[in-house]
Amino acid sequence: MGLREPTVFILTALARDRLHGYGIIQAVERLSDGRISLSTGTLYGALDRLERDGHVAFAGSEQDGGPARRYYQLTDSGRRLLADEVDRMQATAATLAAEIQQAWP
Amino acid sequence: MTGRSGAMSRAARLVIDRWLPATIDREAVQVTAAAALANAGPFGQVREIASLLGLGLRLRSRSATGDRPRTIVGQGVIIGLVAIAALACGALLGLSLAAVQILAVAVPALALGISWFDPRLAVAAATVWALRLVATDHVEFVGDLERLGSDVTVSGLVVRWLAMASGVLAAIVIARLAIRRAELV
Repeated sequence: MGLREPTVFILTALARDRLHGYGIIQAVERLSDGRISLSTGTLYGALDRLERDGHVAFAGSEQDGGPARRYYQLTDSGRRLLADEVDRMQATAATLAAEIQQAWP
Repeated sequence: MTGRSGAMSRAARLVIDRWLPATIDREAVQVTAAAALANAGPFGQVREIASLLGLGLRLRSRSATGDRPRTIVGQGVIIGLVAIAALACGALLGLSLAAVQILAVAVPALALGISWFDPRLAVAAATVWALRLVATDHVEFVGDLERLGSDVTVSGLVVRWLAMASGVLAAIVIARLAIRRAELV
C-alpha cells in the first residue's frame, strides 16, 4: 500500500499517544519542522481512509468546556504500516547514500 | 473574533453541515476547523474552507467507488455520457450553438480543476472531449489536412481538432494522476 507524505506524518504523530484532530495538525507541523501544514480537509480525508482500513481507531471523546473532541490512536495494523514505511524509507536512503558515496568518494 | 473570522467560521459551519456526507463525524471536523481557523491568517482561512469543500468531494467519491480504479473509470465515463446527453438536450431545448460549445469546454475544464478530489470528474472530462473529437466532421478534417500540403494556411478546423486532441490527452494524464492519488492512503 502506498503512503502519501502527510499520511506518514499523521501516523508518526499518533505513534506516541492518542491525539485529537487539531493535536495531530500541530504534531505534524512540529515533526516536519513547519514544512507540512495540514488543512482540516486533508487531515480528515486521510483519517477517514486510515480508519476505514483499520490503521487508526477512535480513542474516545473529551469535553473541555466546548464541544467534544474526538481522539484517534494507532492500531496494531497502523503500527505495522508505519514501521514498514519507515523501513522502506531507510532502505531507499541507504541505497541513495551508497550510490552517492561511490560517485563522490 | 474579527468580522472576517466570524464570517469564515460561519462559512466553515455551513460547508460542514450542508456539504460533508454523514459518513464522517461532522462535529469532530467542526472542532478541528474552528481551532485551525482561529490560528490561521486570511490565506490560511480561505485554504481551510477550500479544503473542507474538497473533503466533501473526496468522501463522496470514496464512498461511491471505494477508490478502485476500474470503478472510478466506469463511473467517470457514465458521468461524461450524462453530461453529453445534457448538452444535447440543452441544444434541443433551444440553447444556442455557441452556448453549447462554450459549456462543452468550460464544464469539463472546471471538472478537471477539481478532479484532484474526485478523480471521476477527470475521467468524465476526458470522455466529453474524446466524444467531441470523435464527432468532428472527419471528411472535412482530412480534406483540410491534405490541403495543408499545398497551402500553409492552417484551417480553423485543424486548429480546433489539435486543441481538442490536446485537451483529451491532458484530461487522460490528469485522470491517471488523480486515480493514482486516490489509491494512495
